[in-house]
This record gives sequence, C-alpha cells and structure tokens, in this order.
Amino acid sequence: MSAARQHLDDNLLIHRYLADRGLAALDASDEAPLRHLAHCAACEARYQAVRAAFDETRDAAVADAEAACAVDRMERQRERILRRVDALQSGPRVLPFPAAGQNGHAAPQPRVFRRWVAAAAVAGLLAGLGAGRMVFNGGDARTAANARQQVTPASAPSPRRQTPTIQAQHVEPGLSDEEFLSEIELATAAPRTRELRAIYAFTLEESRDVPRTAGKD
Amino acid sequence: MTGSSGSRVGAPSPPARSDRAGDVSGRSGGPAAANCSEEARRVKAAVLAGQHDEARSAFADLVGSYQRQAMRLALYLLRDAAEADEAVQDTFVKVFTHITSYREDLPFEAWFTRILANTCRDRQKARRRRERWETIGFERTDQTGSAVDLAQAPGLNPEDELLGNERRRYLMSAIDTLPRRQRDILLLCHVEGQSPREVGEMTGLTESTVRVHLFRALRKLRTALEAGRVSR
Repeated sequence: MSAARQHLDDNLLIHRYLADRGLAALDASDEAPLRHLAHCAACEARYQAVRAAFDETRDAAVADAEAACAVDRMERQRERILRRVDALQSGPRVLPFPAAGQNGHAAPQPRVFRRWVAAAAVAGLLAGLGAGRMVFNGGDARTAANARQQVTPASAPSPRRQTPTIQAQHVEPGLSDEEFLSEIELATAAPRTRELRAIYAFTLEESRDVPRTAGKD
Repeated sequence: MTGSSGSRVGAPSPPARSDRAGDVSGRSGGPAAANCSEEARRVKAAVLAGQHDEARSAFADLVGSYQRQAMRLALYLLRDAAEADEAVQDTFVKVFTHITSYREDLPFEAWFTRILANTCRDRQKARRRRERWETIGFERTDQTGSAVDLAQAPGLNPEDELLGNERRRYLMSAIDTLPRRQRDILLLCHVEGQSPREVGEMTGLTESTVRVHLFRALRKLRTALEAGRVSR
C-alpha cells in the first residue's frame, strides 16, 4: 500500500486545521497528505468532524466570555475605573468616622456636655462620701461610749454585737458570773423557749433534763 | 463628564467575534487597534500638558473602546469573571498611571496586553497561594467549567436553551482539563484569535513554543472530546 493511500492520522488533521486558521504554516512535507485529503472522502469527513468540534468549542468559549461582558457589567466596570483614576488625581481621601459622619456638626456639643456631667457626678460622689463619713463616725463614737458605761466586759465581747438598750432591761449592773448564768438558765427554762429544746437537742449537745433523753433510757 | 461618555458605553460597538476569531491576519492592524492607539496618544498628550479634564475624557473613551476585549482576555487567563473584572480595572488604572511611558511608535494593544497579562499572572499567583490556605470543604464556584453564570439566550425555547447551556458547560469543562499553559494559549490563539507571536509576547514564550503548545492543546482537546462522546 502506498503512502498516498494511507488514511491521515489526527495529528495531520489538526495541523491542517491550524494551517487553515493561519496559526501554523504548511511546508513541503505536507503536500502529500493534503493531496490525499482532497481525494479521500473518509479523511475529508474526519477532517470536517475535527473542524466542527474545534469550531464548536471556540464558539462555546466565546459565548462563555461574552456572557461575562454584559452591558451593565461593562458600565459598572468603567465607572469604577474612572472613579479610581479620579481618586489618583485628587490624592488620598480621609474617611469620616462612622458615628461622627452622620451628624458631624452636632458632635462637639455632646462631648462637652458629657464632660460636665461626669465632673458633676464625681464632685457629688466625693461630697457624699465626706458627709457620710462625718455623720457615721460621730454616731459610732457615741454608741461605743454608752455601751462601755452600761455593759460589763465579760458579758459583752464586743460593743458592736450588743444592743445596749435590750441589755439594760435584763442585766443588772452589779451581777456576778454565777448570777448571770442562773439568769440564762431561767431564761431557757421559760415557757416561751420550751419549743426550742427539741431543736437544741437535735443540733447541739443533748441536755440531761430533756424528756427525749429520758425516754431513750 | 461621566454622562457624556456614558452613551458611548451604553451602545458599545459589538465585537465581531466570528470575524475576529476567524481572521487572525487583520487583527493587529485593524481600525479598532488604530483607534485605541490614537486614543492612548490623546491621553498621553493631555497628561503631559497637565489638562486633567481632557485626559480623563480621552481615557474614558479608551476604556470604552478596549474594555470588552480586555475583559475577554482576562477571563481566558483567569477563568473567573469577578477576578477578571478586578484585573481589568487594575490594568486600566496602571495604564493611566504610566501613560507617559507609553511608546507611541508601538501599538497600544501590545502594550496594554502585556500589562494585562502581568496583572493576571500576579492574580493567578495570589489565587494559588490563597487556595493553599483554603479549607478543604470550600469549593470554588467556577469549577463547573463555566467562568460565568450562563446568560439566557434570547429567542430560544427553554429546552433548547437548557441543552445549549449543557453542551457549553461540557465543552468548557473539556477545555479546563488541559494543563494551564496549554489552556491559556488555546484560549488566546484559538478562541481570541491572537497570533502565536502576540501570545508569545504576552506570555514570555517564543513563537515556536506557543505553536507547539497550541498543537498539543488541540490534540488533547480532541482526545477529551472523543472520550466524552464515547462515554456519553
């Protein structure tokens, strides 16, 4: 079989296609294949199929690109380009702070006003602290002096924990320790405190005279 | 100022896509390219003369004339509409900033495309760096094969539109299977219609290397499409 009768392979068909598009040059060695293509219907059909496939791909790519070049998109792009060029000419731009930008001329007034309010609040706080200190220090001194006069040191561990007026009603100034303990026993045995005995037995130590203890025995 | 030039963008001259992609020879020296170069010269002259309003007006015209093509190029290189949008903006701002260094004896298109390609390359690097730090569960929205939301084609019934969009996604996903360099060259040469020499200038490769990459890209694309046809 001679070379002229052999069918063309895909490489030659692609080369021919590129030459038809002006993207490749044919040389002398391509003469024989081109002659074959002119006389072989099968190869011509294959070439037309190759050409159609490539052309279809090109059309698809063109359509794909054209879809991105819509008129409104081009318009927006052009406006942005020109705005950037204008910005180059006018130099850097200072962006206003968002809060101040909404009401720029009114911004200094609230700032001064806020400063006055803050200063007044601080002054009021200091005055209140000073006055409170003077009032409560004087009261404490008088209360402590009264307590020292009315309560014995043994029955009152600290002046603050005692209520001088109540103590003055029940405790006699001249009681001894023994008498004071007797007074406590009498107080706990009183009818009003009997209900508390169960709680006392349950929470603290048991007393011998509690009826519950006697029942246990 | 914006209003006067807004009408220009509102009715942009539609890019002759089919002509452009098919006719490579008339690309660089076409009237649009000459127009861009003329507008660039106007911008440069106005900037050098210190006429800000005139420079801005001329630059607005330049943006309107060239932004669509710039957007397509950026989209081919970045495959993400939002990134391409930002790359185009950055490129135009760079162009305005460095317009005084534009050499008027050279076509504006080549100068601009070089800046755009560098900007896109920087963004690609930044994106790859960012993706390395992204969590595994996060998926990019552009991995479906299409760089943008598919636009509704007027005049098609819903079924045809659906089939068309499906076919387009399939073809774009086939392109996305190519290695990055081959894919970029395929999109720039085969789709956008840039010559191998221009793509070589843009990417820093030699013209013959671009041709080799283009050939390999088409061969892989052919294989991928064949495999997809069989599996379907």
